[in-house]
Amino acid sequence: MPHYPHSYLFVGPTQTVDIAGPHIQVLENASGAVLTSTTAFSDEQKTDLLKSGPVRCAAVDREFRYLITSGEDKILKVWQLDGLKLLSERELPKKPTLVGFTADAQTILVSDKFGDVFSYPFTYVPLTVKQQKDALSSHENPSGGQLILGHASPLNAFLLTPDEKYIITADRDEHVRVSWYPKGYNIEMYCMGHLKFVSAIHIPTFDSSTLISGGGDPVLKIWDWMTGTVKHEIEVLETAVPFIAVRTLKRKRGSDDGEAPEGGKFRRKKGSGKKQEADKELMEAGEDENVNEASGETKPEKVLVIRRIQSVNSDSGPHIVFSAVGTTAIFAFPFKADVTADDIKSFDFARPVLDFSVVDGKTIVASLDGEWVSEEGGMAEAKDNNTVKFLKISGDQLVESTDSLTTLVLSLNSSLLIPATAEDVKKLDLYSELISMPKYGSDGDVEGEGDGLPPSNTALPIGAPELSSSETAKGRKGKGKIELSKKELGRIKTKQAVLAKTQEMEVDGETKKEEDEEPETKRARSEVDGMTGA
Amino acid sequence: MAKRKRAAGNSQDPSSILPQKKHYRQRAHANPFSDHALQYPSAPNAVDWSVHYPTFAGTGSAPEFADIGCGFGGLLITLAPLFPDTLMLGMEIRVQVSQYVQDRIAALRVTSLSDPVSGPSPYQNVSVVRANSMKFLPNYFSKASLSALFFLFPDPHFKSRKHKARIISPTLLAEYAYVLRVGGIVYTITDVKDLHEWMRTHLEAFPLFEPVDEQTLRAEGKGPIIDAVYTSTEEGKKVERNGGEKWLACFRRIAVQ
Repeated sequence: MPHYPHSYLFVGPTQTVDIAGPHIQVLENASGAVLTSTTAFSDEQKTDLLKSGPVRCAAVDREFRYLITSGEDKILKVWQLDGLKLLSERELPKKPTLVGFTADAQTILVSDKFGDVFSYPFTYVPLTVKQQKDALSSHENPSGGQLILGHASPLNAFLLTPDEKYIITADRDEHVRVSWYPKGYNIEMYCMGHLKFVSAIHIPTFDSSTLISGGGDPVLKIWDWMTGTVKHEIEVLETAVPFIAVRTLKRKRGSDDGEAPEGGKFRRKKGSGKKQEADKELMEAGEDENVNEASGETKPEKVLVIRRIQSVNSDSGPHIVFSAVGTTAIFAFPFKADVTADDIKSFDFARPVLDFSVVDGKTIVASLDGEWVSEEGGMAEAKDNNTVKFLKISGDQLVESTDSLTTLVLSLNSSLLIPATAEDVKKLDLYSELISMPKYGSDGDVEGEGDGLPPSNTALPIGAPELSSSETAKGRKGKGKIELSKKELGRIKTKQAVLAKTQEMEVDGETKKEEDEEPETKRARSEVDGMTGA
Repeated sequence: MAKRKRAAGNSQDPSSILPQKKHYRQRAHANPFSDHALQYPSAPNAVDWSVHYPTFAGTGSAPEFADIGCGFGGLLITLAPLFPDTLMLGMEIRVQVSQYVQDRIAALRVTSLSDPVSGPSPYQNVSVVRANSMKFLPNYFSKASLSALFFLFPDPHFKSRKHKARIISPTLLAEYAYVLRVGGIVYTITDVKDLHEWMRTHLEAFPLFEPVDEQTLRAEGKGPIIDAVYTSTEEGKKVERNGGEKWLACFRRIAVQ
């Protein structure tokens, strides 16, 4: 019988909130007994609950009095933990990616897939008049939320600095932004340098001037976030790779990346009547690509997606603990200036870690995927069926912590499991980030703009006024014969003329000026050779 | 059209080695939210500007003017000789169009070099990148590095559900305020009245910008820029040919209150 995994576990001073699929349970730490549970709701309440689908985002306030959740229906629910009373429900403008309370629990912050962060007062006062959408309205909010800031890419994470004067946001397009809070229109700094999406950020509890960020890059970056400078980087990919158990099929890109090839399927007759229609189709084609998943051809691969970064205190000093999506281990390294990959310790659960949290600054609570079955050998085998484990750091090592909350762990691993159907579990789509986070820009590329190079290869002259490279890229695709369109021939002719002119001037002996032009000439010549030789 | 063809056909004309637009035509719109296969720098300090502006190599200069959605580059080409010491960068999302501008600048640099009388050659101070400015502006420009940002005849995205794709929005304005230094100017112009109202309203409402009128800017010596904003671009010329109206709105970046 399958069970819902514990997707979130918030362990408080006396109580614990357990979120499993669509359900919420409040437990007593000392006895491990259930205080309230949505499984005991009346049929009517339960229908409402299940309508929202599995809980995707959740947060508990600092005083451990309230819980906010959001499922798949873009409804933000505020719960009072005592008696699990639903205090309010409000509609969100977009699918949320993260929810959180301010320290005083008076304000709720929500980041979304569209890249915005809105704030909402704790007490929900429904809008008496529906916001009128007029020609000038932007960022309308169905619940009167206040826009704090927005990126033009999906937001993966945000946090408030400990003094709550700044909000730090991270997006799928590699940006980490530091803005004032609540006046988010004042951008203080960008922490630039990630080459892949950023999916986890953390300010260590031991040093509030530092930010640690991670995502798809092989390193975690340690920043001075106020100045946007990297203080240090720590290689994590090699340590993590052996533990990446869940593999994904690469999302395949079609030619619909918004760049219609000449004479391609988007080519339209000129005429104003058809124009709008064509626009619509183009826009939609661009949007649709996000749902196109691979079918065949590509083979499963290991993708690193950092899930969470946290601070942990131990008898051997402050440590940083992190996890990655679909990885069977949790990792820890000491928080020190010159830390290297060799300092990273891991603890292998032999099952994918779904999430972890830190209790009291020292105990790590990990929730594991109990339904997961390894598809290939070579990975360690799980010794038990436990889906919740407590760890601590002792003597620089991650070790299982058996001294605290044993009854709680016991019940979380047995009597508190909520049965689910295999279909329910599948619907949780626990590892979707492995597919949704990475960008596969260089595949199926029509214009030859990304010729297999990493998107941020800074050694390349990015769009410098050399002669453009579309023709070379085409040549490099190695399709035996290349038929050139009139357009392309025209462009090449121009380039040859420019080249000839440059060479002519070289002969004239204006050597001083030509030094600068030299690389340009070389590159252009090889391009033209490539063309005619192919 | 006929006029342009004649000019191009004249082989004696030094401009004949300039690229021809007809070889670079592309549909007028791009989806700013899709993952284009773009190349972009990971951070402003990762950009080697000397590749873009070879004659400025070693000076540590970085662009001060940015033309967002520069199209065929008319503004850059007009402003280049007027501000020979100011580096300018055009950003254009459509690959063919950005290649045209790239080739045009390369050709202009060569042709102007060959003129023995002109002294320091123009067009060394302009360059272009194929970029999605809505997403990657902070990848190119560091905080307060720009003194002018241009939004000339941007895509109007008429339908209200496409308004989010407009280049001026409350959230994007925060990024523009970040890259502009205090005192820097945002120039907007459009022939679409609704879009003008949209841009004006959002810029006026934004706490870090204040409206500045044309007369004030002209009095500050920015007349040539304003003239170029009105007339230098392909879109601007088209509107003129069709007898359309143009709405200009300019704003100054102010310090945090």
